[in-house]
Amino acid sequence: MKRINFKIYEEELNNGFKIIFIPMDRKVVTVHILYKVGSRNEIEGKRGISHLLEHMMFKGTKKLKPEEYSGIVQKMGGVDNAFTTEDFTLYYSTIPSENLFKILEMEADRMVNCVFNEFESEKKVIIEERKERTENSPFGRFWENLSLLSYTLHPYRYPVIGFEKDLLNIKKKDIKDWYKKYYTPSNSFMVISGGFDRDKTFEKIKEVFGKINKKGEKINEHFYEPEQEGERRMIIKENGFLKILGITFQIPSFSDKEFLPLSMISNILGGSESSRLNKRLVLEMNLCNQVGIYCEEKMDKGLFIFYALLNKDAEFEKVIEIFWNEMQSIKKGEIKKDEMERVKNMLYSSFLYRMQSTQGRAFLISHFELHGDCKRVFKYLEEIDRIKPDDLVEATEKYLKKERSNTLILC
Amino acid sequence: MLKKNLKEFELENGIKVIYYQRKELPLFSFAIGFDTGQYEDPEGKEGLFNLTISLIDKGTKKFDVFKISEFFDSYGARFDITPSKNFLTVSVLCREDFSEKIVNFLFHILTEPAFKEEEILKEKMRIITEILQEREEPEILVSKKFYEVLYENTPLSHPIEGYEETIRKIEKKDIENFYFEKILKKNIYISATTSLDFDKFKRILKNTFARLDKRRKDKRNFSYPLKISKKILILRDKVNQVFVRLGHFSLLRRDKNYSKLLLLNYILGGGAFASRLYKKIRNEKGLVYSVYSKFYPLDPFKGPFIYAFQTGSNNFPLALKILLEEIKKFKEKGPLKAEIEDAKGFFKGSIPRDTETYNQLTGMFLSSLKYGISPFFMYDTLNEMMKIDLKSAREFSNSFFDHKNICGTILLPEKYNIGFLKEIFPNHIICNE
Repeated sequence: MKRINFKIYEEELNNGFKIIFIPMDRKVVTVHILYKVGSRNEIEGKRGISHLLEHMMFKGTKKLKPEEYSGIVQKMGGVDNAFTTEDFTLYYSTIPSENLFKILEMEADRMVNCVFNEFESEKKVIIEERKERTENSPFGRFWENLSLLSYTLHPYRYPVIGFEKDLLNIKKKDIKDWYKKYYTPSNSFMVISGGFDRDKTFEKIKEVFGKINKKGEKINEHFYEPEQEGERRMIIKENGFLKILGITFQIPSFSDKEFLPLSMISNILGGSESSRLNKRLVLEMNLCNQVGIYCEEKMDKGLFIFYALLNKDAEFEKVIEIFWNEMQSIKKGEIKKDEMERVKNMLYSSFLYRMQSTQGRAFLISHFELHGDCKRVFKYLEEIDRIKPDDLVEATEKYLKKERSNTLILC
Repeated sequence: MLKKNLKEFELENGIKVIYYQRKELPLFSFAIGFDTGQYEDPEGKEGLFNLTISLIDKGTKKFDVFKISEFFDSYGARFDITPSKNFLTVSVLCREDFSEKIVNFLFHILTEPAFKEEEILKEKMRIITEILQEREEPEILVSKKFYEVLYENTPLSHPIEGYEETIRKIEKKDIENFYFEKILKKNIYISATTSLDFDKFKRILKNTFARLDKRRKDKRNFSYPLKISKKILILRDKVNQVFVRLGHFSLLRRDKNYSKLLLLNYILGGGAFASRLYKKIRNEKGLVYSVYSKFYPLDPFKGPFIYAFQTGSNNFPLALKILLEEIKKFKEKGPLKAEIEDAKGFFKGSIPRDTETYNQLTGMFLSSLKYGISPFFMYDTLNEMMKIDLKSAREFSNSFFDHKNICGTILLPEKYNIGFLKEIFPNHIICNE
């Protein structure tokens, strides 16, 4: 496989704040600040606090009025937003290069000076968001229940957005404490990609972030999920036309060496138009109108997820049987050379496509850094290249067992 | 963007082409546009356009559906067929070293589709299932019904995929006739952004798309009058929110006021965090998660201008009232000078961001060919926008926006009392589905 040439530079301030520079020949620049906190860090009764804090970060500081941050970015011709996952909270903006320093100043400001205005009305907004995305969407209900079924103890079982009851119970003090504990230089890092002067930018970063003394230590929390013993199954009857099937397995974290073989299995089975299950279930037998398989790239145990939208007359048990037959075939080592090549080509191309934009590169690097080492990006394609069919068989035998599966039926 | 990297030319058969060279990554982004769309659907066979184009990659005389999917995947290529009301785009993104193989194959599947009975049947079933499933997605449902109300009595009112009963009526010969007459013989445009050399690119086209028949240069025709119905269609479902889509027509893409509408929509509801609707309804009152206005400037007919939000049942009357008040205020008083300047800043700074990826550029060039405007139209639009002053913006705002002259759909929880709607829309027909 061809190598893609680009450079990244790493720096770290005395307060533990890490910066990764990705220079590109562009007139725009993307800035990411990633805080290593998400819903997995939350406790009972406060589910959704990380996502609520993400919203509150736009509600002003001692210097800025509510929403002024985004207003300034948009006046520049930029875009900004944020999202919260189970593992992290990421703030991003893409702006014309000449405005980079202003963004750095504002990001440093909101790392320490948030004032949490409009707290109660923003909780109402999030309750609407939850209704919009989860309660009023069969797919939202499906995904929420799939996580609940797939974990017993780990906080991954709860939705990032939390529950209405918890949201109403969260007080301003809770948010302030959460902010104080997790939004620190040492529990975050920054990625800058695009057109900028690296030396001058680093000087500016030292000036605005270097003075942040927010106490806090590197937080390296991992959470426990017991080994699954026995197959689980859940049926949700909604009596509509929609028939959705999900089958999951717990798998190791993205940084684990066994993750990539599992990711390749997911691609062979359901990652594309020509994948085995798409061919069988959609193109050939017309049992489903959509299928997919992917591996969640998580800090703790993620999920290997198969999902299918069944056609009106299709039977769940038939689809489930075909899924297990294909899994069995992988276990037996029935993996064709051209299947392996096709998947490797797809992964390589997909990597290349993500390199097109400043945002794409920033996401890629943020992802590798979160999982331990941004420089792994340079070895990643070689790691994929080295995987052999035997690795896939071994991973299937170890993780993709029937007695460790979770099956959700929504019909 | 560099003008010297762009080459615009016409193949001998009349197909217009834009090639843009970008060497940064070894990529090939290629798109073919066809002057056709849902508006060509015949009455009683709604969904024919969509069904026909969804069969393009389902088999040729040489390759079956499995071989076609394997072909694109084996080169890691991303292949897309995107239908719309007024256009069809077939695009592919792949590595430069596979470009020739990919275009040759694309040409083959586009010119020799088999439309096998077996695949037609499967595709019909797939689409019908999708229609049934989408009925359970309130957001999709309300959006589709909005188009039925807005474009009432025209071939644009039906959902692009048609209806269960009309899909069942479509036969193989309808598909073949439609494909070869209403798609393949139409005006075709090609755009590409790639690291591939120009000479090699031309050679690839010479062996493929240059071999197609001479284009007839048909003008796109749409003879149906478009008139706002002043109808509010009420839908009911098992939901705990109210879903709202209101709107009217926007402008034709070629309209001289296009840049004004772009600017004003940004201020009213298109500018996300910066927009008036967002500030008033979400930030100040916490009534919604998302609220926006947006528009599609189409051709040869006017696209929609849409106001949308969804909110909890208790919030609905207030959110709707504020929305209509804001439109009224915008009509009567127009934007503020500061708002105009902020919006200009946004569009000025957007260009480098909107031209970052190979596909963004290819899509932009295809649009320029489709609408007969400059490949660098975003600079022209920006120049026009920079000339907009407060007076002209207010004049346009007053003539374009009208809170009374709108139609729409509202999806409500099953037992929700809608008595108050008659006060809000005294001159509208409020009807249940």
